Amino acid sequence: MKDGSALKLLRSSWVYSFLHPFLKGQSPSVQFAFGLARDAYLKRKPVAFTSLFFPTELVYALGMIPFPLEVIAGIVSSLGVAVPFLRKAEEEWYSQDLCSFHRLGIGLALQGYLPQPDAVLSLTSLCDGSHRFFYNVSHLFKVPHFLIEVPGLGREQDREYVSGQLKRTRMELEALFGRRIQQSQWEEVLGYSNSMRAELFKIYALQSQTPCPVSGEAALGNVGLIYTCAGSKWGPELISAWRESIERREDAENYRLFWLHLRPYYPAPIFAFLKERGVSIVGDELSSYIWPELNPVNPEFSLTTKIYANFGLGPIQNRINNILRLVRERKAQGVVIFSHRGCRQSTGGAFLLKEALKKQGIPCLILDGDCVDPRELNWEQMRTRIEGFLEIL
Amino acid sequence: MNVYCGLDIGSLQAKGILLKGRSLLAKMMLPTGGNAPETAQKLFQALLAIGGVSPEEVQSIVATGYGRISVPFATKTVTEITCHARGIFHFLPQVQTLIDIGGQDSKAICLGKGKVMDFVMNDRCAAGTGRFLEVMAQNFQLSPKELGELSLQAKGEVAISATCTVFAESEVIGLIARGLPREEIARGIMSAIAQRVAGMVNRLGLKEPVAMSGGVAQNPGVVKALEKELGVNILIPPDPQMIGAWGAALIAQENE
Repeated sequence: MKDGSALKLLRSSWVYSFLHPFLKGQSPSVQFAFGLARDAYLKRKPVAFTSLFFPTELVYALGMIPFPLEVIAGIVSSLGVAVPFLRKAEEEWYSQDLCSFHRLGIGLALQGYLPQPDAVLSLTSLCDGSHRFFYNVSHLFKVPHFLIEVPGLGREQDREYVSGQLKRTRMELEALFGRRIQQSQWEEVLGYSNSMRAELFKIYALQSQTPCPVSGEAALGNVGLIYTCAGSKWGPELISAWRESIERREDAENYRLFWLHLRPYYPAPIFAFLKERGVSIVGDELSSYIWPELNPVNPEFSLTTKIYANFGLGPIQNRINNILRLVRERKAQGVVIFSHRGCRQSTGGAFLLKEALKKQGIPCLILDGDCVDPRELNWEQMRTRIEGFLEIL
Repeated sequence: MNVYCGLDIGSLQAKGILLKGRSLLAKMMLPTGGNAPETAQKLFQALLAIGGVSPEEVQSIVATGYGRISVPFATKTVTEITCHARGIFHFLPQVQTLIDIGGQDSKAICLGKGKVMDFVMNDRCAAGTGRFLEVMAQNFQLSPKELGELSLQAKGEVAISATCTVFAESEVIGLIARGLPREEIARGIMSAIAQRVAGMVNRLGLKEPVAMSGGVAQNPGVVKALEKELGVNILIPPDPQMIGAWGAALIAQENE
């Protein structure tokens, strides 16, 4: 693996000590990201590479650091430096049809830009390609891969099956790191997750207001945080700080749209353009993820309930019903499905979603694109589609 | 003086319409070239000269097409999707599905009383666009229209399997080199475009009557292939290339 100068900086304790004083006054999300990078690259704690939908509460309870590779790919893309890593993966025969989040993750791994993990944890929930990607990563770093298989239907036996796998994974990880999760740790970790959940409800209430004061770009940008912070003390703090940063909205609101799936993370004019047109993104499906309150008495079963609360899992009708509910609650006039290339679970249902929305008289725009690969952006075409859609509204 | 202007600055051609009330005062088409703002200005001046009006007499200008943001003197910009819908409603108000094949993109638009209900555009590549047709025609040393006419003489069809313009070009060169009947290859090219466009129409749900606008609507080979693929008759308005500009001018008038 190559070791460039940027990588040396990431692994230098001096850099983190130097930057530490400048963190004062920074937003909690910056402080959280700083701490996560420092602890992972300096190996202050065992590192677990996690898939986006893995319940991070288990990772925090074990005293590990979750390093969410898909979120990292989004961050790298937002810094405008994704292409060399994507190209590296493609040069190593990773197909361009593979999800670019995963291609970028592989590129980062191949170039040596990821910390050395101690374990890889992933779910088969929602993202079809992720478990094979994470298997690949575990092979590359020669660390064990713990895969939780999640049957889509969520019947009682499915939930027991998932809960049993979580229990077994927990026990194997406890044995691997020679530590046992105490009941008090479960209480603390699940307590943070529940507080974060309560804070998220306050954000959703704001998103239903007219005009909507919450920036859709920020909400979509916070998806990674919501999934990574659950179970950490930072979780409620981050969401609370986000809420406090939301200001009363003065400009005109011309359109209210609900967003499905994720957004382009690389620098692109899309959100500035929407803002200029007075468009509010009044919510998105991935940051509108609400799970039932977690119970530390039976933590694994509780986490299973949380996994199944994600309405993207299971029959498409589940996703359709929840989206129709959210569109109603948020008073959205239309829906944008950002159809991320390579994402089978999201694009596969686009037609049925569009049909269901059409029946309710809700216009829907399927916007084909890519979340992290800027080479896939054809802004002129995308702009015409968005403008054409707004003209319909 | 109630004069209104619609400018459709497309990727290949810039089209302009000047209306006085509902009557046509002037129409004009120029190649867009590499400088869209300059072309738009030239087009506007030419329309004024033909119509015999001064710029001050023009009450509103709507710009559309890919170059719509390159018209600094426009009162408003509107997408070509809405403009083509408005334009076709003026000429053929009964139309429910509109196919617009332009220089570098193609669109299927579902209409309800002249309003856009839904639309779909081609994505990622130039297959099914005017540019695809131009590239193919070059291999025969014909114009796109001549290639379309040639395809009508075919008794059979040679299938073109590649959808990528570049790969389809090499496939066509190979077929010509093998000595296969030129008209049958031409028919295959028309079918390839028709299949691509019909796929978009079917995504929206085909509703009759169907009309076609944009430059490619003047190509008899493409129209025939599309009619066969969709199993419907396609209505062609007069001057199909000007429909977007007509729509823009009518919107300019209605916005006043």
